[in-house]
Amino acid sequence: MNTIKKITYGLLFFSLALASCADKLNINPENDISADQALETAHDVNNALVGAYTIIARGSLYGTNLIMIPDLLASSGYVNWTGSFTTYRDIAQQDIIATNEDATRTWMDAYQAINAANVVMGALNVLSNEDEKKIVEGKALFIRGLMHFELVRLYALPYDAAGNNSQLGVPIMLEGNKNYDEAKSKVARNSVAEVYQRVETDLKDAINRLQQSPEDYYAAKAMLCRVYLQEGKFEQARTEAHDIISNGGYSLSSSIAGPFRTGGAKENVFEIKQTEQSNAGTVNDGLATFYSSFLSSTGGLVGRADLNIVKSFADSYLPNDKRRTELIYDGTGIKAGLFSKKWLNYFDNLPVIRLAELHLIRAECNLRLNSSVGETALKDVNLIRRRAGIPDLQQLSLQDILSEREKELAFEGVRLHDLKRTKRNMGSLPYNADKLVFPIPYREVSVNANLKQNPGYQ
Amino acid sequence: MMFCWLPLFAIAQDKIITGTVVDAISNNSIAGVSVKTLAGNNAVQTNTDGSYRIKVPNNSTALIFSFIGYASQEIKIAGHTQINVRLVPTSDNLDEVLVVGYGTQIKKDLTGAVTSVKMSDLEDVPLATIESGLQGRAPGVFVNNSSGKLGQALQIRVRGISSISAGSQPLFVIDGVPIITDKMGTYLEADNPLAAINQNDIESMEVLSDAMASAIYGARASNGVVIITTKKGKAGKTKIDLGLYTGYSDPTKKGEFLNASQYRELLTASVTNAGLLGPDPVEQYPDMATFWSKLTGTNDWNENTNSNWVNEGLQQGSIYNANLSVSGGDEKTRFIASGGYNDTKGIIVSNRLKRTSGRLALDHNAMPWLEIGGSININKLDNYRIVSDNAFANPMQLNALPPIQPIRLADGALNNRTIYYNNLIDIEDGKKVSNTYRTFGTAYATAKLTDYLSFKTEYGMDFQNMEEDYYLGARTQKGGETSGYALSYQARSINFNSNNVLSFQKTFNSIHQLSGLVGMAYQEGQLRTTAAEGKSFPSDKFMKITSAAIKSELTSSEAEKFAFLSYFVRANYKLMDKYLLEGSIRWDGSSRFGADNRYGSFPAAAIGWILSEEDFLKESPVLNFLKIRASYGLTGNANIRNFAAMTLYQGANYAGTAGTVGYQLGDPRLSWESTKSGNIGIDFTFFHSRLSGKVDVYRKKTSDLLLNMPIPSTTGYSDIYKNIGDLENKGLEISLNSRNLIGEFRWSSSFNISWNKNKILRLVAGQPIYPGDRYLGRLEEGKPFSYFYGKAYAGVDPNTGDALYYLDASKTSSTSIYSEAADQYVGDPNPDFYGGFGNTFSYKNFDLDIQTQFVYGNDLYNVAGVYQSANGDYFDNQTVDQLSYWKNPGDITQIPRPHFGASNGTRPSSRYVQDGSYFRVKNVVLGYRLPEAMAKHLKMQNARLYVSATNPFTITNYEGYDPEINATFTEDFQLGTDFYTPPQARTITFGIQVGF
Repeated sequence: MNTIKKITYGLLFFSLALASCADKLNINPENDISADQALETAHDVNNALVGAYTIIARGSLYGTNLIMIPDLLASSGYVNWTGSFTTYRDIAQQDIIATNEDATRTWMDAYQAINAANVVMGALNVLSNEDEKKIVEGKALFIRGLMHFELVRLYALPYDAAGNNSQLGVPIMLEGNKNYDEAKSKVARNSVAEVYQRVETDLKDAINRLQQSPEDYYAAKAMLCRVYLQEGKFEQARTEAHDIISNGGYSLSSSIAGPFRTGGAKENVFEIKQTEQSNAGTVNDGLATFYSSFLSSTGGLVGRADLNIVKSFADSYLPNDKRRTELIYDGTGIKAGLFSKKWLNYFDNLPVIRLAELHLIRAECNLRLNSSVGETALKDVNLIRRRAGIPDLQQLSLQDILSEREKELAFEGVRLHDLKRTKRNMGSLPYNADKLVFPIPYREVSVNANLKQNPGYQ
Repeated sequence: MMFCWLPLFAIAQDKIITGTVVDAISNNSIAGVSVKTLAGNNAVQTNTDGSYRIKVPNNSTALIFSFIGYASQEIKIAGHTQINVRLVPTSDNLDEVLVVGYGTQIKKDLTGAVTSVKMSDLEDVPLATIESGLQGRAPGVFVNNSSGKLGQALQIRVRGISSISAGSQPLFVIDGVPIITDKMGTYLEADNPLAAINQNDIESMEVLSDAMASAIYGARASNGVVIITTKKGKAGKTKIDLGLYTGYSDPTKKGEFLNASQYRELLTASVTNAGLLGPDPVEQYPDMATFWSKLTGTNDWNENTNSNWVNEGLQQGSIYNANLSVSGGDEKTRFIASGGYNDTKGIIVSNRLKRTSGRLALDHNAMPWLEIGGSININKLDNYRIVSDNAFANPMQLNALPPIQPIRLADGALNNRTIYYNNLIDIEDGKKVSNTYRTFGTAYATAKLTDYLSFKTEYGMDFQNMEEDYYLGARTQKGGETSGYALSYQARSINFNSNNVLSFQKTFNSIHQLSGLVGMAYQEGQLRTTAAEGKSFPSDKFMKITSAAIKSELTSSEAEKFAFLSYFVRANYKLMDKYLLEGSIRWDGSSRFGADNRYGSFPAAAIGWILSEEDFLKESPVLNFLKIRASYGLTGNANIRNFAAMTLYQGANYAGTAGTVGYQLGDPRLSWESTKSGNIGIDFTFFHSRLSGKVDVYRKKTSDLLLNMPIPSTTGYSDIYKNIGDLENKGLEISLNSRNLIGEFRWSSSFNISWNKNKILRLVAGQPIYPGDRYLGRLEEGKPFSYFYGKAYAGVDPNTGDALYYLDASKTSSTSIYSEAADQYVGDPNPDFYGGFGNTFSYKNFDLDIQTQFVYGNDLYNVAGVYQSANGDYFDNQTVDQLSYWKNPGDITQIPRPHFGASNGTRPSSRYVQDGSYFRVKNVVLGYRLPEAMAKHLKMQNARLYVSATNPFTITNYEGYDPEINATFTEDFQLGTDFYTPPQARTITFGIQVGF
């Protein structure tokens, strides 16, 4: 046995060992899929569209913030924040800092939803069925318009029907980003006027494409109606409200709590669906998490009971108003106080726009325009009052309608926007105070020099 | 990969040499001395009586005798058949053989920076996990135990922090297998897979700190490498060792909070100042009792309760440990078999860790040229865990509960009407246990191809199975919502590794010593998890998910994989025993790197000069040994999340309809982080080996830092992993060992101190990384890693009692409006220096070992201060110092005027930043060895009794629980953050060790 032979064998084995595994470095993920496989078929594009709905259902958007924050920022004489989350406490105290995590996550997720919608619209060419393509595009436009509208209401000085609205709004995003090379743009803020214009266009385009999908069609119309109202375009708002009331096939729920309990939703024109498996959260997030305070049938404490209702507000209802007797209760959970039953169970659906609101919008527009399209303003308001079990009004003023809105739509995220559009004070602050506008999130301003911060947060 | 059996034959004429080896000072025989031929092809060990018998080839010229703690000797054979040797003890162990990557090196010849920690020095110290043994003992290694929770990951940094987001823990290699140290469980805070390892199975830990030592591990070496070597059987009489210890533990410190009457006083002042008491029926309350009952829904205000919630979260812990090992064998086959049991009850209620381990290792000389062997190690770990610091269920958060609220209600049930969750209910009505089964197996074959060439193939497997079982009853916070909550989680990690190394060693013309190796390694790891979640149980008597009415959303299964393929070469050259030259290079490929950037190469080179071998120093009476060395090289950090380089879509659920969401943007160019580091060191020994030590200076520059680069979220994505960013660490390490007294009364000392300065050089577009909110840690160019940045607290306005903050960094004027004050530097969590100082004394049969450890110049930020030292801003119980709050105009105090809910001075600021320096007596061990005659009489080889104390004594100015904390639930770059973080345990144990 000679040495040379031994070495040869050794090296032979060694080189065999070297050769065997070079291709083992190509490993694909199993939990997820790579983006280039995500939008290949019509089914894939539909999946991405469903994904956009999951985003807007998060706690950062309709799951909590878009409904709770407009009430919290206008909390004076209305709700108390008693929770430990300083982000919400600061909002309730109208003393927000630029790094506020809730201001940040709402912004981030709204744009994620917008991007998801844009990506869907960019992938429409894989859809061969024209009808399906229209519906998919319509829904994507709806989400894009919706999110821009929510953003501009929170992150910009209010829209002034009398002004030119050249104040800074939010960036309008119309192109989808699918990979890193596309996602590099540093956009600037568009003006409030431009954003509202785009919102209107998107929602109108959505409506045009959604005729075949009535549920989405009327949801888009209802949102457009809200947009018009916010802009003070009462005629257009009246038209939309009237159309939905007359043709949408919706009806007021006989039970006052019905719209808020899953299954009673004939009244809900646009709602976020929740289930035990998909919801905004049960511990640190979710409307019921913050609003509820009761003992479950098995003795567990439900809710953090962080938001209780100011007694004077509860007392502003007539004593037999069902919205007081059936929708406001004494907390029996972790904290005592008055709580709203609108957001009670963790897994209930979340109505965003109800038929009741459209009646009140039609009434307000009719009154303001001195018209009675569809119905007189008085009748529309009394319809709502009768359901609440309180006497009809004989006469109606604008103030009556606004006050009816406050009572009917309490804790549904309209208060801040109503006060702003009607130029009323919130606590000691005037409607257009800097402190009633969210900061552009600190992280955004840090990474994008083109984004100008709102006054008061520099 | 396979093993390799090569048809080789050894052919040589042998002769036999015998002899004994004794200690040159005491004349006692020494067992276990390694005796081998100069060529290294035959080796035996001395028996307990110091005798040996070795077969050597006729052409052998000399024998080498070596043993830890003694100077090695090389004795010419010159025809003798009996050779007796007297070994001289040394403190520097220059001839000690150290384990380095893929081989061993003699300490004297090292050109890299390697520190060895022998577990025999830590034998009587109850280590929660093995790597904590490095604390204070290895220069350049910073260890922070993070918290007193058992089974929790610690923070270990070798030569500073070299990464921002790719992890800063060193690579751990056990017997050649890079092991998985990533967390396995679902808890926000990482579990510690190393906790499954029994310290008694470990022989030594070597820390490779500079590039020369570590670059052979290429893309995973930037954070340093810790090589763990397990014990092996030794030839000789069969040895049986039994060790038992038991003890108890207490928290190093308990927080001091208000009692009931103090609490009432402060809250009353706070509510009164807020104008909430008075006649107005809408905005005010008539008295405190009404206020309390309206806001909390209880009548506690008027009850006579005085609860000490702090004590409820803590307990006296206990520890019980037993180890048995049997080892022995002959020239042909060596074995060691051991078993261990450890049961530790922590100082935090419900925290407990139980470990059972067994190990068997065999080495067999199948043929004169072929050695085969392997080991198998099976461990079971039961860890009753504590939730993350920031969870309401963390027992330390009981601090926040008002003392006027009772712990239990009149009916004996735990009070569930507390202002925050009374998380004792979680313990009484729930269970949280993690079981880990970890198996390490290795097998190897070494074939000596020629006198100078050998081939080793080894195969290792690291198999971990973890089960988390989690039940929370119907009265608990989480279980309450759904009348019972359960999570069952299983994780399986399988990690295979194969190394194939061809080594070479030859001396030419008796002055050129050349050695080297060329090899390859392949590693494949996978993690598979399955989780099931159940809600709504018939009652707390049912705790398995099969009885749950709802099987809910966390139910899932996941899998991921990674692979590394590596090739490496190393060469060492020594000229005339004086001049050393070393070089290595490794090529690493990994599935984690982006498709456009899959392989990296990592070279290193070093030179050394043993000056004491030069003629001008050789005869020096003072200097025994002096070497200077320098190294430079490139290493990487590949601790990237799997698939971080890819743009990914994940599944989503909208009320039962499946969809997809794009959730990660990936850069296909993503690669490892690279660190260029240079090191210059001196090793020295003076005064007949009475004083030895080493000094190292280094500079590490890390570039291509993996940063989660924030991008404008208007793009639909908020961030992307990119190789951006540079940072540097530079430092100085000194370690000294001395034998101060020798003779009957012996005293030796070891001291080490390390300075490290860290600076961030480049971040994404110069943008600081600063999450803000309640944290202060910030990464900014030109500043140390994670320095504290925020409002600088300026005390209290004596006139109004309002908290003041400095307007700007000049600190000349202040404001009471938080948002008007400029953010600025308010502290640095990085220590200026740290180290350890140990002293060992022995007299006759007594020995005493005192190890201390210190950290100086770091700041700590107590985030919980925002709640607990907040001048009664809310219902949270307050630390006692808050009683000196501002009361009247003119009062000079640091505690602002209490004003319920007004956040007066309670927002994040330097008010909650404090000096975190500390000096700690880490371990004290006092032992007594039974006299040999008495031991023999008891049929024992040896017996030893000892008492050991861990953390008996600490000096610090930090007012929180413990200065050795680091809330690990925060992002990686929030250092020195305390958030209801539990303190360390002070442990006293009593033990006995017996050898048969």
